[in-house]
Amino acid sequence: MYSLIYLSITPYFLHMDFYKKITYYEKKMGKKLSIFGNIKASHENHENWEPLWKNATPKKTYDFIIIGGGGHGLATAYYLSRIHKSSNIAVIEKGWLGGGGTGRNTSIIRSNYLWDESAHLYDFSLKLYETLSQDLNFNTMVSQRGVLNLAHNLSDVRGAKRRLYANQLNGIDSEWLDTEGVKKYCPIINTSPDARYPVLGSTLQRRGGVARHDAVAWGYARAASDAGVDIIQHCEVTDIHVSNNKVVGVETTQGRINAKRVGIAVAGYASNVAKMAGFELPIATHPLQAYVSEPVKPILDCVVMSGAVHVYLSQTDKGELVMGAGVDKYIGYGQRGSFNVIEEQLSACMQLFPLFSRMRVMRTWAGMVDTCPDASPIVGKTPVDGLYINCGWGTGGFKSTPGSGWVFAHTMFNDAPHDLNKAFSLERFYSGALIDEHGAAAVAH
Amino acid sequence: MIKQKFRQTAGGVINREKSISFTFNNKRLYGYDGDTLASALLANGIHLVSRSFKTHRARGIMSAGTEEAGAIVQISKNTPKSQPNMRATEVLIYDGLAAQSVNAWPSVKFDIASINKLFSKYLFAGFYYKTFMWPKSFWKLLYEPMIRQMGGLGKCDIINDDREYERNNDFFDLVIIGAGKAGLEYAEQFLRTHKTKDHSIFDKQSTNDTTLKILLVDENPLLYLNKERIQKLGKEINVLTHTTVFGYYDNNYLCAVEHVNSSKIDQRIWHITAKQVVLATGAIERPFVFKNNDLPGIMLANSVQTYISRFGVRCGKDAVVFTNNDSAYQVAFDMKAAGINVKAIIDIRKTSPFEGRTDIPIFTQSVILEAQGKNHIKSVTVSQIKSDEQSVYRVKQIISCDLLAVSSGWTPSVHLHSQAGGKLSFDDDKACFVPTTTEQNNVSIGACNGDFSFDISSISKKWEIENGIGKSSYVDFLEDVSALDIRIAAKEGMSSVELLKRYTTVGMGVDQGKTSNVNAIGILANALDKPIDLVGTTRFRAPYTCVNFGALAGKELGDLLDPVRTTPIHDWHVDHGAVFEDVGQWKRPWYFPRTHESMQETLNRECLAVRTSVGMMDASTLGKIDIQGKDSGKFLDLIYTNMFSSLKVGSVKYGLMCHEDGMIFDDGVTAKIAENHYYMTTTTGGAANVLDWMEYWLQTEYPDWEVYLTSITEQYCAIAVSGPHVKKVMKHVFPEESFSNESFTFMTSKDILLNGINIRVLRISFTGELAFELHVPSYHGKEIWEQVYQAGKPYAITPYGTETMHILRAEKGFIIAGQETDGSVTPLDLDMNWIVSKKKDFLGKRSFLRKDTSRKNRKKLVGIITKDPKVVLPEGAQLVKDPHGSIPVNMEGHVTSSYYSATLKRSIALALINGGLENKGKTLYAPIEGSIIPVEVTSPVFYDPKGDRQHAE
Amino acid sequence: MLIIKCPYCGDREETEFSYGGENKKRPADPYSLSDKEWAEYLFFKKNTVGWHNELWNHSHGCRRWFSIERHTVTNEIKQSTPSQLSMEENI
Repeated sequence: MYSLIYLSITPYFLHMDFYKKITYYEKKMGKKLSIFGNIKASHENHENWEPLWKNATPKKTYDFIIIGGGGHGLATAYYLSRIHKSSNIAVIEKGWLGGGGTGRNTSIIRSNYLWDESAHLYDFSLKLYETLSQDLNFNTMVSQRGVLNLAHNLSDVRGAKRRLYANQLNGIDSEWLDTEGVKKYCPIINTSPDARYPVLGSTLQRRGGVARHDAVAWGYARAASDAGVDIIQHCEVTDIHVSNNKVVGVETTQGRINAKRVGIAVAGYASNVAKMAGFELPIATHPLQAYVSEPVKPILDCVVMSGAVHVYLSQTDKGELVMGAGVDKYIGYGQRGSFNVIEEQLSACMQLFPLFSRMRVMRTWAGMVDTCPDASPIVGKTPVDGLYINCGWGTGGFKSTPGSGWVFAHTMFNDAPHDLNKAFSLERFYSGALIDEHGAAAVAH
Repeated sequence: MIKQKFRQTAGGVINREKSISFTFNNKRLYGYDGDTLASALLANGIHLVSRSFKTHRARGIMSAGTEEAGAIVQISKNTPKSQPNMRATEVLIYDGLAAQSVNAWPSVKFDIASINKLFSKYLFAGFYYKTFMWPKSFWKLLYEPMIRQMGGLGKCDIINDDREYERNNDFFDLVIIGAGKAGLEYAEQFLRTHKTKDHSIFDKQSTNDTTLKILLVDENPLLYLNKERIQKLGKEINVLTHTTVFGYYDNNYLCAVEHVNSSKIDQRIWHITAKQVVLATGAIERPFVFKNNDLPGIMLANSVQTYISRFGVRCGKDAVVFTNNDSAYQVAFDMKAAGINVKAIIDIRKTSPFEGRTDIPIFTQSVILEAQGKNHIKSVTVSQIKSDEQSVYRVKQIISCDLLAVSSGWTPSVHLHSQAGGKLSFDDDKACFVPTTTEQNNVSIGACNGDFSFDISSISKKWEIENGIGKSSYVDFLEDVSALDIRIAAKEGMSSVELLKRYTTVGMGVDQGKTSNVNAIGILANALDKPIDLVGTTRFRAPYTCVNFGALAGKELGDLLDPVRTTPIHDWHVDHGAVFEDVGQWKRPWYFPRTHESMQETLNRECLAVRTSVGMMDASTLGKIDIQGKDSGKFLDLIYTNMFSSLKVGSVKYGLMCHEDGMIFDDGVTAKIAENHYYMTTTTGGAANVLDWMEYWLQTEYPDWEVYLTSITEQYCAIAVSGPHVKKVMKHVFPEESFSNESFTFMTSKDILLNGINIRVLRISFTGELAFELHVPSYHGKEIWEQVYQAGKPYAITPYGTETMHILRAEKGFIIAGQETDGSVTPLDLDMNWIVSKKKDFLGKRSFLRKDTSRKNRKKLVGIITKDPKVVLPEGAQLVKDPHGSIPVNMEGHVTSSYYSATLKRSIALALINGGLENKGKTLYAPIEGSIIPVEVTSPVFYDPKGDRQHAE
Repeated sequence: MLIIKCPYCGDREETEFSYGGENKKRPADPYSLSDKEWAEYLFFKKNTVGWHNELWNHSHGCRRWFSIERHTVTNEIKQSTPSQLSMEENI
């Protein structure tokens, strides 16, 4: 069918008159990226592409510095400038943009978290995702193809239903599928009652799905840069300058940069950067491995997660199966894990998808996840005035990117948290008001 | 037999005695035993194998090894052995092999979607990100399905794989990877100069005198290697051929896949720990980047040579060679010797050391600007480079040919070195990345270390033959990435190779960039005007070549995925029709239905039997820990919230355990058997964690305490017998004992000898009825179970499962750790203050004092009854105050347990809600699937609130 | 796959062990601590980049707890010590 679509529209593309008309449409659409721009560029032999973002050299002083040029940091800068109309903002990245968790996750987005605080924050994030391509004028390929969270024993079912009912009352779409319903929704899952871990049912969030992870970072970087944010790559923060318990700037490999307010959004390295300002965090950084198969034609149309057997997988638009493993048990910064973790996970995967035995692992990799004792993030103020922390997202970092950026920008701008991140303060560890989301994280932390 | 047009009459390692018949795109073809699919196709004059996924350009065989980036096929389609995305170069042919082209419909020669070629102008780097956004709704309906349909290569057939895989572990003192020239020489030299018992080479402290364990491993089948030398070595060391080391992990841990291809085992995964690793993995030749360089018939020079020497196959009739280094000359000579008409050697360099030494015309300081052809190369356009080394002269010469052998240099296979943490740097003279420092015990030798068997130093590096904008000058054949794409990415700010990879997908294909990465880096460096070392390489990651999911899963499938634990009484339950539930690894009887009984009917019958007569349950899955030593009492005081040191011998106590954060994590009863001797039970799921946790405190914080912990979960069966008639049953089983309330009081235990079997009897009750638990050595578990069952027959003793146990305990308001608790619940939240000692410290106690933990309005345990007694709430239901509240609704808490109670003839539930019993008598609502169920908050004890029944005489 | 040296059993594969995290001493008097100080003991971690003193349990072997010095970037393991000894050093 799609071949026919090509055939029917191809002549228009090849017609020169059409190309001439593009100039008209392009003017009409302003700077917006569109098919017209693409076609025009093609006819101009691609001479005139501009950088998606400008590489800035650091100024002496900024109002806001965000340490970390991943999705969260870039989104924060973007919303600081767009929502709070701030200017004089810099994002400082020690490597290349989106090189940490943003570029290493399995790109799942969903919001079916248990506790109100998390559900509201993640769902806000999912809502931002739903219009992100249009907001950023950059196709982040958000694909709401549905997320299944399988239940394999009675305890799983209880936990899943508790979450389901809470989600529904929080306005988050969530459905219960029984075994037959699962088979109907995803026919290639093995639902045999004789399986070692039989599928007793599943929650389904239809609004959940996947997005193109790198594009999220690039889209935010491009939009932030257009709004005047300085994006500084290959610049490592080596110290944080604090005077009278107030942050005054950062020391970097490109020299000292002064700042009124500094936000830390460095995920796995959060403890390390916090140490520069003299405090510790309740964070453990673990390797988290993921891998892709060789690409094949569409075979899996939704995201499947199974907490009990530590499987979560989906198929990319390019055709690879992307799968994530559980975290390696030890802390580690080497961006590599132990191979047995992948083997164990594949054994579990074979029971759910015996046909995937013929698929082949094409590439494995590892990232670092900053995990909190309660599997919930920390977004808020720190013991140092003017210094803010955003970390501890564990395996939830990618799906929370827009929402996290939004509330972190609010927190930095107002020196006070947004309603959505109030509960995610560092103080909760002193008072004991933890938000235990181990059940929802689907990966053993 | 049909003649193989391009097969020489002699030569190669193939077995010409054994003809093999196979099909390619349903056409029957013949090859010889020992052929790869690629060599057999080439022997039959077939180059065109598949189509590329984006632009659907023709793709042919371009190499003879794992670096293949063109010839992708699907094997055994629609059969259990179906395998997508196989490289024709890695498939050994066998009788009946069926291979098919990918991305080609209706046929590889006439492919409808190759209309995409017209489109290709618009399919440039970053194209997706810049379009398909408007109108928004089209993304889901049209754009994404279209893109998805284009993506992918082969198909994953929906048939289960019937091949078998297995896994092996081994340890070696020395592992040599690669049995090519360097690897073989190293192995032979090592055996000549070292004593094979001299462990000091690898381990200075070693005193053992066993023979050194040495392994030589190579990815090629033995047939393709130097058979004689390897077989000779095989007498002294271990050899694994057709085995690819695909992963190099920390602590010199190697993962390899052996292609066994036997009828029993298809592949075998090796986990190898090595003291020392020698990498002799060779190098991969690079293609040139020029216009239409992806046409079938354009091959890596070295591979053309391999097809001649290994398979006796000529890859063409009229050939041109294009090179920038010496290595391709020998190829040209070999081609000529094999009868291929080598029309010209095009050499970029100003001079060639071979000028005058051959009668093949050599065009120095020349390049191929472009290749022509549709599905196969027809000719090449050659031109001379001007002295500025950039531009070319207008004068062009067209040479017709059907084979172009290219060599733009060599890329050492540094994958394993790099995976192991080793560093690389760009060697400008050799035009390649070479290993520098290593992080583990390994060394690279031969070509993979940049030490080639020919003189590479005269290489003249040229990353791209520029001609136009470079749209059809392909860098990555698998991903359809052109030189233009890389330049666009560079313009758009993708200044690091990692960003380039993600933006253009260069190197992300099934070959992981074996032939494309270095060219891409070179072109990017030029575009950015940066030295190559600053652009860097992407990180090398396992696997070196793709490995089957099935092989990695090994034998840990089905029931072997996770051990299934059953109690010694399991067979009895099966015989009596039990339905089982999974609890951790255990199979526990869930309920015992009779014929034509619904689940609810079964539960009603089981519950009423316990409440009115007697029932029995297999509780053997409970964790059981024997605790001895003089500090045992003190230790139990530390880990339980209540006091155990003051317990009298023979007494039993229920206890709660909290983590240091004050949250309940397990519970159970513990009996004091003797002075300094306790018998602890834990929950089924918590057993292992509790033991580890207790050992943690003993060994790390209190190592001077004398306490010995022994897990005896497997050594004891537990049989719970419960109901008003239980004493009569017990008396029948133990005629010598008295079970009167004076002689066997509630919450005590006795060890009773029955026919020489020591049975530990605990008078405890989880049902609220008169009850005993018999802890029996496992070997006798089933025997005693049968005895109790027989003794109970006059009272219609009823075996019951976990569900009835749950109902009975819920009627009494007893909690289940893990159901009423979820890691956020303290003993105080369950109103179990009576079990929290005020006299002593215990783990978790300090945390109760924290602001949030000591807060008044915490979620606390309550009972819930529905206004309509027939309605059973679903477990997990959320309770709200305002039934018509707008979303998001404030939730008061959730239902943790919910059942129909046959005894009470109504539904009952337990819940954790804000403020707990302060809400007693209040109405709350459970919104479920569109309906709203009104409920009332009550005490969590629904039955026998005074607890008289368990004390009955 | 880490190869970890159990001080009692010798080199074994990582899969035989469970991880105990940072080697930390329980405060002698928890009640003399503020909530913040107690939280620091409970939850806060050094999470070191580099050499890290951590506890492991040979749970599928001799069941003994012990501590090792492991580099959290390279995973190199320097030494392993029975846990009671390492705790004494920590005091």
